[in-house]
Amino acid sequence: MTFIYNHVSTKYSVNNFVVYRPTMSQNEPIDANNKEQLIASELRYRRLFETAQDGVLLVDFNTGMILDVNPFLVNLLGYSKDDFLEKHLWEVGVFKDIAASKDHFFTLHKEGYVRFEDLPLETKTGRKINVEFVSNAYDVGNIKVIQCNIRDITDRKKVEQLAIDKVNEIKTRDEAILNSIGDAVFACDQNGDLFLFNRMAEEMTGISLKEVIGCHYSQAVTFIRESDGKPCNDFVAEAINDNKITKMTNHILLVRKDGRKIPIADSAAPIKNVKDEIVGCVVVFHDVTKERQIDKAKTEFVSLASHQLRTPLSTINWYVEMLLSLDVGRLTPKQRQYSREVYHASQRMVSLVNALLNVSRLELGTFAVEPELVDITKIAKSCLKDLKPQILKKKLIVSERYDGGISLVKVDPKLLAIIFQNFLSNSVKYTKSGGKIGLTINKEKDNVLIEVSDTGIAIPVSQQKDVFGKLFRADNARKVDPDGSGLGLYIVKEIINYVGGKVWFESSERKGTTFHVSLPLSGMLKETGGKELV
Amino acid sequence: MAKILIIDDEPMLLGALVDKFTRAGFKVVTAKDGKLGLKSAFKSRPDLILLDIIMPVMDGMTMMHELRKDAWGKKASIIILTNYDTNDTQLAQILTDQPSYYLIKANSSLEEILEKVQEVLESKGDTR
Repeated sequence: MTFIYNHVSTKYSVNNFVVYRPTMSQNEPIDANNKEQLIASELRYRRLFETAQDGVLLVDFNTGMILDVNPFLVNLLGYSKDDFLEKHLWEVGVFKDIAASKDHFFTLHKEGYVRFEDLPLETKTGRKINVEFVSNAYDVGNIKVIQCNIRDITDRKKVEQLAIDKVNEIKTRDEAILNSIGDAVFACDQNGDLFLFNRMAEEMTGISLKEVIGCHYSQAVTFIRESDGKPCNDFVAEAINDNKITKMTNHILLVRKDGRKIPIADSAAPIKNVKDEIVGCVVVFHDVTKERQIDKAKTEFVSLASHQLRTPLSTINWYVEMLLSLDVGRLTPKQRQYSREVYHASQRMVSLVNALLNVSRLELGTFAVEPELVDITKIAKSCLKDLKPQILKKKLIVSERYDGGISLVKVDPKLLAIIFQNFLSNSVKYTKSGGKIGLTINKEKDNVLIEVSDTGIAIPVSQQKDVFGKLFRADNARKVDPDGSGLGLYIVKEIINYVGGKVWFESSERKGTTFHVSLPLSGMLKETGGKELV
Repeated sequence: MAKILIIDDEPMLLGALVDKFTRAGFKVVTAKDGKLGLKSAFKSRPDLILLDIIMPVMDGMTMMHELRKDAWGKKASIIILTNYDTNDTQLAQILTDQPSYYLIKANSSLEEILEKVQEVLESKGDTR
């Protein structure tokens, strides 16, 4: 607690204590002639002086002699009152640096005010403390006095230092973590200026932290699309503007400082403060050269494996075919029957191998989507035509409805054919003789809607959630066709997802099944993969 | 009688093809790898070549490429008959070397292959 002393102070002698009492503030005038009032006021101030929890020191302005010192200061510094009184400020051991003390004294003379935010002192016992030290010079009647207010900030300083140490410890630890991460990490503020660039980022880009810190990220890291070499940095802006985690599309290359290009995979996420406001973006990326090589090896392995599987199958097919076409003699009915079984089984295997090939291509994401402007209706009709023999045999009633509004859509015809083939052949397969099949192609907003419905055996409710699963076959489907691979719907779903569409269905024993496919009119995104689906 | 050269390293498959085409009335010559196939092609100048891809010594794509360098070979009719799926490199080569068809053995019956062979020979005959 310190007093703010106003201009005039009066010297009084009360009970042999010589005290300087500041005059009251303007608001409380004292009647100097009212001795009682004076004494009461005097006692009040004396008490404050004596009980203050800060040090107060009064010094004669001219001589530099210490006039008074309060108990707090005496205790704090470990001296006795006598050590202070009638001594010069700089004679008291505590203000060790005599030259400096004298200097300050003279500053006080000149400026009338001296302040030390943090003054290190030593007590009589040698304990080191830190104090806040403020000195004011003012007039007391015709005497000039210096009043020093001293606050012990030793503890505060200790706590401050602990906090600083802790912050530094955390900072060092975080930096260590960032620099040990195997991925390259960089972060920028909402303007895109970099404030973080870890060691891996330096290694991968060949650019040092010093060169890029503070620069816009686009100047520091160059990402280009593999297909056309065009720059591709939008994902960062997208993360910041749209407040979402973005992934760079496949086939992005990082261009190093030395010009070398590395394939990378990455993600960008917005950084938010405690108020949930976006304050920047953090990007993580890593070199996928090895992954790509593995993928390539996998694809080649799958191709080779399927080749090896197909060779014996072709052998079986061809020899049995020649048997059945009676090329090498007549067959007894039993011989013919057995040959048919063999052929049948072999065909089933061939289907399975083809389906597995497609599945592995879908999963590796290595199949090509080659969109062209296609008349979807044409493809649908062609698939129906392929099924004509079975449709006629089962006397199924097919109704087609094509919305004239759709002419050409940019799709990959092969993939679209697989979709139609699958749904239509399923409907034909699982609908009893005399049943109905419906095919509708519509336009709804920005999408093409395809509906394939039937009055068939439907999908049991308990198994409906599994129907798109790999190798899954519903119990009733198995009874109708034990040969199905269980991969058809899985493949169709993967294709539809891959090209940005949606697929769903309703199925009940009473009504049959209707499958819906929605494909974006904007067309399938072109993907450069390695292979086509068979 | 049309002459066919069948190049395939799998004896079982080769056997089936030879039987089928012989019975269908073709003169059939065979080779079990690309190098021998190339030699045979130049020697016998078949009307059509059925070419496998995966073979030892010299594979089918290389053989086709080499054949196309020759004046006669450039115009030779080739149907690729394999169990290997196309990949990007092959597709590129197919565009340059231009076989008439690329058939997957496992997905094609002997009848279908026969049809395609006859189709190619007929179209060739038309241009003569």
